[in-house]
Amino acid sequence: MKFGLFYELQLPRPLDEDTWDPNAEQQLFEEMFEQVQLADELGYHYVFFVEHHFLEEYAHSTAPEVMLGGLARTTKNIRLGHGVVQMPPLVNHPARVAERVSSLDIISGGRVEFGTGEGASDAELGGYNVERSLKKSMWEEGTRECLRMMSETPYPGHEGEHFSMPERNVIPKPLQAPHPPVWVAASRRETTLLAARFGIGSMGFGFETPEETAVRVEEYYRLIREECFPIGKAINPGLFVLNQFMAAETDEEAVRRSADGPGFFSYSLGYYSTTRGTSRTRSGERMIDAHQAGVTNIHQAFNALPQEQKDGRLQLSDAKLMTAQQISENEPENEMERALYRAARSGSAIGTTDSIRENIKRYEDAHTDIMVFNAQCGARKHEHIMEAIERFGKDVLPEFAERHETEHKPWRERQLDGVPYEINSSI
Amino acid sequence: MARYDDVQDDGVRALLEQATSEMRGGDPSAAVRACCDAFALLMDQHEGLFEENLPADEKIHHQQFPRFGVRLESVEGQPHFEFDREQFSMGEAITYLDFTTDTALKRQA
Repeated sequence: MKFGLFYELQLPRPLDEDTWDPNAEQQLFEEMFEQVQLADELGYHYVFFVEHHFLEEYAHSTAPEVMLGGLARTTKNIRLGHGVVQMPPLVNHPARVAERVSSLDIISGGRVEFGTGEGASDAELGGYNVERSLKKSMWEEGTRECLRMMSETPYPGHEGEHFSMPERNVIPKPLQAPHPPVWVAASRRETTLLAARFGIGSMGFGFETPEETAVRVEEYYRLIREECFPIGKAINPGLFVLNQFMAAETDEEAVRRSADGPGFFSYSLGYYSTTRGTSRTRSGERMIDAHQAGVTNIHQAFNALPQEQKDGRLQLSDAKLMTAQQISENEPENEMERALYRAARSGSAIGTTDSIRENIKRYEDAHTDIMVFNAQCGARKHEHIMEAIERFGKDVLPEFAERHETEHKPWRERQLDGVPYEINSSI
Repeated sequence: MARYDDVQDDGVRALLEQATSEMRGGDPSAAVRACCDAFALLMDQHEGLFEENLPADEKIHHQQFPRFGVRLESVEGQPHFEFDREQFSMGEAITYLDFTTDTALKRQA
C-alpha cells in the first residue's frame, strides 16, 4: 500500500470574531507547503488537492493547479494529484484543463495524477449554473474530450451536448503519454463501479471499512477485466481510500491533538451538502437553515455543539459514551449519511504509530492500492500535523512501501493479467 | 461473467444483457431505455419497489432510481418513466445499469 496526503485546506473562522485575520489564508498555504515538503522528503508517494468553490471554512483549495504548480518546483518525488478537477465545462473548459494539467506534468517531470469529478453541493454547482441532473453527462464529455486533447495532434474539434470547439492543436502535450493517470471521485460504491467500467482509478471518499474495501476491490478488478469501456487512451486501475490521520506519542495524545478536526470536517461537509433553506437532523443536531455567504460562522455553530457530538462520540441514553462497536452498530443506512458519520468517527489512523500500523494493516490485507490521509482539518495545529507526518513517515511507511513492491504489485499484476488495454499507472 | 448473469429472472436478465450490448455497440441511450424496461419488470414483480423509488426526501435520493434525465413518476398511481431528453451518456447508462442490476440482485436475495 502506498500513502498520500489530502488537502481541502480547511480554514475555520475564529470563534471570537466573524472574519479571518487578513493573513490567515497565506499562513494556511505556507504551512501546507512545509507539510508537503516534509512528506516528500520522507517518501510519501502522493499529495492530492480538492477543487471546491465557495465552500467557506470547509475548503479553501479552490485553485489546486496553483498549489500543485508551486509544489512541482519545491518537491522531488511526491506525485501531484488533482483530487479532483471539476470537469463540467461550465466550471472548467476542457481545453483549459488539458493545458493546465499538461503544463503541470511537464514542470513536475511527469508526476501528475489527474483526478476528475462532477462537483457536488448546490453551493458550487449553482455558482456555475450546472444543473444537477446533467453533471454526470458533463463530467463524462469534459473528461473524454480533455484526454483526447492531451493525446491527439491536432485535436479534431468537437460538437457536443455541453461544449463545442473547432479543430485546434491543444498544447503543450503532457510528459506522461498518452496522458497522466486518470481518477474519478467516488464517494459511493456506484461511482467505483463506474470507474472500473471506464478504466480509471477510484478515489474512495466514503471512509469505507477494510471489509467493505475488500469486496469493492474484488468487484472493481473484475469489472476492469470483463466489462471495461476505457474513457481514455490508457487505463489506470486502482483504488484509494481516505482516512482521518493524527499520530502522536500516545493514543490519548493523538486523540487530543486530533481535536475536533474530523468532527469539523464532517460537520462542515454536511452543512454544505444540505440544500439551502432546508435542514437536516444528523446525530441529534440540526443543520443551519440559511447560509449567508461571507457572514455565517460555521465554526461557531460547530463549537456550540456538545463535545460528544463535536468529536464524533454519541451520547447514550444513560449518559455514557458509545464504544467503537456501538458506534459501528449505529451507522446510518443511507450511504451518504454514513460517509459523513464515519468522517467524524473514523479513527483507524489516529493514535500511536503502533496503533495505526495494526489498524491499517487490514486495508493492506484487503489489497488497497493507496491510503490517503486527511491530516489538515478543522483547527488542528501545524506543528502537530508536522510531527504526525514525521512519525508515520519514519516508523510505518517504509515497511508498507516495501511490501507494496514485493507483495502488492505481483498481486495486482495477476488481477490485470489479460487486460488488453495500455496501462498508465503510478501504482 | 457479467454482473447481470447472477440475476435469476429471465426477462430482467435479458434486458440487462441487452443494455450491456447496446453500450458495447456505442448506443448508451438505447441502454438506458432497456434499463427502464428492466426496472419496470422489477416493479411488477416486487410489491413496494415502485413506492420506494418515488421522489421523496432529498437525503435518500441517492438510494433511488437515478435522476439523470429519466424520472420515475406516478401517473394515476401507476409507474411512468418521464424522459427529459433523448440522448444519454455512457456514464449515465452505466449508472442506470448498475442501479437496476443491484436492485434485481438485492430483491432476489
